[in-house]
Amino acid sequence: MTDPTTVADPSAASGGEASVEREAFIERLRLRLAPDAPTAPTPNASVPPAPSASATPAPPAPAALAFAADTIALFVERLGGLGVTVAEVASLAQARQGLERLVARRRWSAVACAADLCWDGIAARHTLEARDAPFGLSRADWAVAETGSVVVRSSACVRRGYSLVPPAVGFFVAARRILPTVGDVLRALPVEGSALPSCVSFISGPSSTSDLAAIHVVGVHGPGEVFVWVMAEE
Amino acid sequence: MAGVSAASRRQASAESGGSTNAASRRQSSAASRRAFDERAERALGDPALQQVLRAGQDYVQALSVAARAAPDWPLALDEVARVRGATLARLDRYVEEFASNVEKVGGHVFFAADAAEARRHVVDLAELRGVRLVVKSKSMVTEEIGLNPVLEAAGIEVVETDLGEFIVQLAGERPFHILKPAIHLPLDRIRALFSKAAGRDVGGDAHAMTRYARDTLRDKFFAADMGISGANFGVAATGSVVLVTNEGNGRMVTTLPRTHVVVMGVERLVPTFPDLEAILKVLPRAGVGLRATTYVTALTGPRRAGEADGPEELHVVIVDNGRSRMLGSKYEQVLSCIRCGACLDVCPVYRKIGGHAYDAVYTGPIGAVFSPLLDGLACHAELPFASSLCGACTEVCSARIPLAELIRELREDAVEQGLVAPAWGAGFDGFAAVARRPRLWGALETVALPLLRLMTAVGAPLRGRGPLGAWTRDREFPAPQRGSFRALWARGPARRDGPDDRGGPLGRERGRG
Repeated sequence: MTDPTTVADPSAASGGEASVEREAFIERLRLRLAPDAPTAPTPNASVPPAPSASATPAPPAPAALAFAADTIALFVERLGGLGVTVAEVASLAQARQGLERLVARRRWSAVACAADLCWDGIAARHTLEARDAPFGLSRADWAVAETGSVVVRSSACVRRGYSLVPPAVGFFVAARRILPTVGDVLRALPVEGSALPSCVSFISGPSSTSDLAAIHVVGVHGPGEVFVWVMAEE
Repeated sequence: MAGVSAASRRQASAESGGSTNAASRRQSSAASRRAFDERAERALGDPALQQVLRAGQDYVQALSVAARAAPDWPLALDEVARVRGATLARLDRYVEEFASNVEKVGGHVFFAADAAEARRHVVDLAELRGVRLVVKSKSMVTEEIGLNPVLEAAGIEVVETDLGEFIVQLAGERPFHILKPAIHLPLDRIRALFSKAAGRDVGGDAHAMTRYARDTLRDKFFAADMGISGANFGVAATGSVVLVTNEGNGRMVTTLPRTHVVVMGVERLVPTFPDLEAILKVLPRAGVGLRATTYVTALTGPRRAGEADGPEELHVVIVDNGRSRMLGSKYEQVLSCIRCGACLDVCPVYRKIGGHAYDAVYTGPIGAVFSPLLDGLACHAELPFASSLCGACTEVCSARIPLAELIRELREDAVEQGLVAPAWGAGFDGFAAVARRPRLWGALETVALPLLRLMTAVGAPLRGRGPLGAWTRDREFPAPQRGSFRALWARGPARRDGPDDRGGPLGRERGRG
């Protein structure tokens, strides 16, 4: 990786010149908003955390929501509406069996997923590289009933590509991770940037477009097929 | 594009150092108005385009009608407006917080006061990294700053990867609509563009054409050295960039190339993730009638240690380019826009003239306000007049921006700055003078009413002629009622009852196109 803080680098934002530009930029905004206020606070003073603009209610207790049968039913219904193939299963073992049958039926040569998600049943076909795999598998960190979304966080094990690059993708979703609304997930996210993964993706159905003469087509750049296994118990 | 383009007007205005006198300003704005009329005429005379525009608006309205009927819809719009307003009110602090949090997670921030600074920074960065191929996901602000031509001039290949943007790039055109850039092009035209690029016939089926675009662009994603995206939103508390997309190209652009550059308008911040709740609810429903777009992606810094994909470097270019001038002004609310496109999809003027007639990056009602404020009213003096002031845009606006009111404010500014024909001001002054003098009004009424009756009786031969020519060409002039309002009023309440509507105050529009 190139050192992004080399002197000639336009990305060296912490340099003296850059910070002058930055102060001028922010000062221009400040003057427009409060023309009569005294000049800017001393440089390098830490920015006071600005309060949230919304009166944020306390996060819902996930456990209380998890076993709400209607939340799960709504999630399954919304997935169907998005054209997702969904199976409700009792356990992780059943979800694995379902996937093994699908892989055999489709004669998929490879399954791209994180090493810690792999099991004996697919080990022969397992790959870490998403690029040429016909199928990618991820475990959903959350799901949203209202929108039929699965939410996936990137990590050292979980590549972004597993849910994006192959033409077909699948997700294992534990029922207790299904929350009613998008807002519930937003409130469950860490409030510090450093505690967030580099990528959190809400995925609602297959990749789609209506850019060609308003004709709806699925499978544009992302996957055209999405499979979800909802597991009553993990 | 024929006539005086906005770009050349901007240049002319810059070269003259803004010191042009009122007469020449008026002259140049009269010329640009004529050019606008020509573009509008061309659109009106294109039956295929008229069909596309009608179908496009009707389609989106049919899709979003259920969402708009939901009982909690007005509350959601109120919440969007509140979050956006609260953010703008302390934008200086949120920008500072956002920037320092981007840096905390390993990203770089550049503050661009204007388009030139933003362009130069991105091109310098691309050259420094030896970039030869840039893939882009849809971004209005990169259109606004004119990024692509500058990258191309530096010998860098730039590929738009949003399907609609890819099509307009092949066609050498500007996006037609904020959300649907190529909605104006019929399938056979797209087939011709794709076939020419492919060197073979790609077929006439939408699925086959999509397959061609997917295959072509997939190679580009993997080969690109740099990905450039916009930002639907930035989250101040975490330094995250949020992208809202359907095709998946946004995720490709921000995952595969080793350098990711975000170009965003300074106003596109929210304080925290929970503040996005109402916005993420309203945006897809208002824009395309969906509960959610396929992808909402929150990116926080470049890839972390140990991660196997994602960009190694993240650069965020925060662009002012005239936005700070709007802050604290009577136009501040226009910065609340979440770019849902709903105002374009209800506007009766957009329905007739389409996006290209505006000759601006931002079109439709939001463009009629935002474009003159960005580029200077002298560059787009005709845009505030490209409105019937019917208020449909205000009614649907996801962020409760009073668009029609702002359009009217801009008309006032245009008159004050001497950008419209003196007859405009004189006409309103004349009306005001008469309306303040009841006797004069009454006297004129006795002359004007028989004249109007005569005019409507003669009908067709007068259409399109005389001082009201432009108006009567496309409309039936309403026949005046028997007796004036004042005469009816004088007769007392008993005789005033009962509707007597003959065409309404604005007349009936004749079907056209």
